[in-house]
Amino acid sequence: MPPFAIYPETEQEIQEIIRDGLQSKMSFGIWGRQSKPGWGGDVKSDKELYLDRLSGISSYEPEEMLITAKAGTSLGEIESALAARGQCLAFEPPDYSRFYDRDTSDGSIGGAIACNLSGPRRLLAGAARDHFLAFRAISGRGELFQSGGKVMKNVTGYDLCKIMAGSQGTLAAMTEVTVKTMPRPPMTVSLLIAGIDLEPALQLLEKALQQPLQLSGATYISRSAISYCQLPSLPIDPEPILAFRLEGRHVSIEERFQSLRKILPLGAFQEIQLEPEESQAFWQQLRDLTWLQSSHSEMVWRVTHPLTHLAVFIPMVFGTPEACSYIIDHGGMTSWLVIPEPPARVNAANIYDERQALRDILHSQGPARCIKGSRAARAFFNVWPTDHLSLLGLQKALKAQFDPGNILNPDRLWRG
Amino acid sequence: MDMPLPDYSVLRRRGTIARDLRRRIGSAAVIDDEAALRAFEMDGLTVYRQIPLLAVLPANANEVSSVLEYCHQTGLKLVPRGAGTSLSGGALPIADGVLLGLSRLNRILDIDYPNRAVTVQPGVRNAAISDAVRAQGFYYAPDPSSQIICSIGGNIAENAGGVHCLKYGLTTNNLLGLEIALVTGERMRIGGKTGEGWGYDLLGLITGSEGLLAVVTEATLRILPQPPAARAVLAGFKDIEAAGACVAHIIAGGIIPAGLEMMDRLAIQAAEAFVKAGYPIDAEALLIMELDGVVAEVDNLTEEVAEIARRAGAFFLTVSQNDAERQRYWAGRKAAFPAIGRLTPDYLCMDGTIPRKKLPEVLKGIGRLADEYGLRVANVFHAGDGNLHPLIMFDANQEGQLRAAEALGAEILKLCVAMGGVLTGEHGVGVEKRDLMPLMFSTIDLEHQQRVKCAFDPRNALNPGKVFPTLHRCAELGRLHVHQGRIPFPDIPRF
Repeated sequence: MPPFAIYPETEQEIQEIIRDGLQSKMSFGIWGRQSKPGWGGDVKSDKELYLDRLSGISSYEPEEMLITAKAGTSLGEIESALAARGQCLAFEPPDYSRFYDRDTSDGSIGGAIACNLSGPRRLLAGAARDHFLAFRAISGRGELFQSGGKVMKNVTGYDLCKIMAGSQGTLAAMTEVTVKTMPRPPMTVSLLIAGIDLEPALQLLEKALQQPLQLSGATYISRSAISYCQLPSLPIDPEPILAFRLEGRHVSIEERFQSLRKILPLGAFQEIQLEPEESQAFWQQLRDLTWLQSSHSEMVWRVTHPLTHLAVFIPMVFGTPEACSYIIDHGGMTSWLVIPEPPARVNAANIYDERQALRDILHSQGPARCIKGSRAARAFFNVWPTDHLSLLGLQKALKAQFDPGNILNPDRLWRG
Repeated sequence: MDMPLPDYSVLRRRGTIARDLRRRIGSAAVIDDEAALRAFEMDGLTVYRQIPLLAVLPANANEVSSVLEYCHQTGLKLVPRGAGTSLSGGALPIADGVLLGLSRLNRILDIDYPNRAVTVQPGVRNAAISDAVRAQGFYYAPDPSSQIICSIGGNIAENAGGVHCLKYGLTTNNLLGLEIALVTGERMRIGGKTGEGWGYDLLGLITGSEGLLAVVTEATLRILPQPPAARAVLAGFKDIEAAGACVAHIIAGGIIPAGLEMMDRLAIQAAEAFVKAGYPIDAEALLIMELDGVVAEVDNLTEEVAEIARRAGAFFLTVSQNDAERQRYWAGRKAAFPAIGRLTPDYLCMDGTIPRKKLPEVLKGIGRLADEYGLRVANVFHAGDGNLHPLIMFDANQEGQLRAAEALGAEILKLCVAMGGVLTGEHGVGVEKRDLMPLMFSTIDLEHQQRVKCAFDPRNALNPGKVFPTLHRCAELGRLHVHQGRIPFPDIPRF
């Protein structure tokens, strides 16, 4: 039977739908604004539940620095409301709709939290999960429950917000969320170092991050990736770029900018300063993965790792990193990699050797996912790493408590 | 305070249990002498005492696992304990439970400056981390007031905050990795040096879980470069509303101070008598604020904050000119609790969080309630994040005063929740606020939380009697609701 699409408008409707689903053993794919299909594993479900009609800001208290909105509310709507009061979301949720070739622009706040999406400022301000205070949701048991509190400091009971963030709709369908807001930085300035190779860039990154500069962006972009950036201040012939962002008051940025420049080797590389408008555009494009273009025979990966592992990790993934397309963000904690899918060979044994070896490398650092690629590639590569099986047991036990029937986004995080 | 009834068969087996544990972790590490056990009979919530069945002090993670494995095999309960500074009774022993002390796991294992990560055993003191990295220009940000003695393991269990958490986050925002021992003794690693792990955010779930889900055997924490400059401002006001308005204007001005604290008249006077920090003793409210960052920024922000305070009506205003002065400004606030302790034989330190704008209303409410109960209450307030510490003064030797103080404490927390706040901002639920959980959570809300416990510790062996008021057996919680007389999936096995 083809998937049946449902567009509930209230919490109560969702609750009834899930209860009935439990009753009749129906599974659900859960969607917000459908901006990022492929972010998680492919879900084969009986019905599709679209929550974008559960939309609207329930309450916004700038003085308390928090906002509560229905989960399907677009990020654009939230950001407009915050901007009007001189605030923003510290974790800079990205808009992956163009990355995933979607007609709709903009994801939902529920989706951003469910996928724990954060922009470059994560380096300084933390991820979505660090700003997520409270929620209402309907579990896979068909029960409406809430957790957290509409205050910044709260240790009353287990911090269920933390497991909801990043759970990708596998524990419960969120209906309303409360997040922290922050004052919008009055000014933003960027320093780009052009023509710097990976190793010296990593050394500089290491050095810069040990200084009290409060960098709110520290990213390395390979030549191939930056070639998709059209901003006027960038060199006409693309060069790999190490980019730093400073935000805050003018007087603060001045001093920190000078301190940053002091640690750069004199005259070794071209230094480009981006003024506020171009700076904003640069980090927004980075945030939205605009420069990660890939062909049908390529995969895009997101990998987590400590900064100091990159000097060895990147060359292991790419034989010749200089020719490849990748972005190292969050001060070296996250990499976005465009990797050619290992070609199919006539000899079956060869396919598994090469693909297996690549998968082992990619899984060796920390959480790693193929976020774009062929169905076959994603099925092969997005498996739970074999040396974390006991952890998987615990994860499944948690999932079973919230969704004993496995009806919410089955297979989204792991298969089976 | 009702705790689960002890299992008398366990009490009778005490000698055998001690012997078996000694075989696993050595004679000296198992304490069964009553006099020696008294050292563990209470934590920072001193009104409750209970001698544990035994106390064990394993030397390393393997011994922790060994103890847990034995207890799991023989059906014993455990109460984990860090430094025992919990203010909510989180480490209160139970009569038939083994007190698992982590204090001997006190080594700093690794300091990694390039990745800005420090790996420690759970018994390491909070302040010891900053001490270890200060010379290189770093520090560990979460700074609960007990930081000189409290342990990192305890900090993780309670998601400890502190004065600087407004700007730098709580423990949960500064934790990069964990090694935990489950109730079976099995250990696993979550995260690493990045704060991200595979699948669900177990780092975030374990933090603040008050010793109910797992035992921390290792933790990796984020260290930050020390800000080049810091200055403090003291502002005294003739009324609470003005102080509250000052805070609101600071936040509205887009300023997030590194510290933003408030004390009321009683607290100010007590602190001044004790420490002589130079506080205005005729103020109804005192704001202690800190700005940190690069020099130019700090000077600029300090000026602006002082101006905001002036416009809000501060009759007393000083700005620190050097670091010694800055430390002096904070000395009074940091000594607030012991300062109150000098004025009263006993006190209960409450911990609720409220929306900031409700502070004047809540303080008036606390004043009314205090009068009703005939007890004095001093208030210390994390003005930046709404976390309130009413200090209820009483004399336990006076008939009925402990009960009155507890009842007053409960009424204050009810008031916090009624105002849109929560029961606890940083001290945890423990035993102290356990029975108040239904004020914030419905039965279904609590069931969803308790099911998390079922995934980790279905037999409820870790820290029983804490946090949740009603004990549900996991099988009972696992039952799906029968809808229209039919049970879903009738053919799958039920546990």
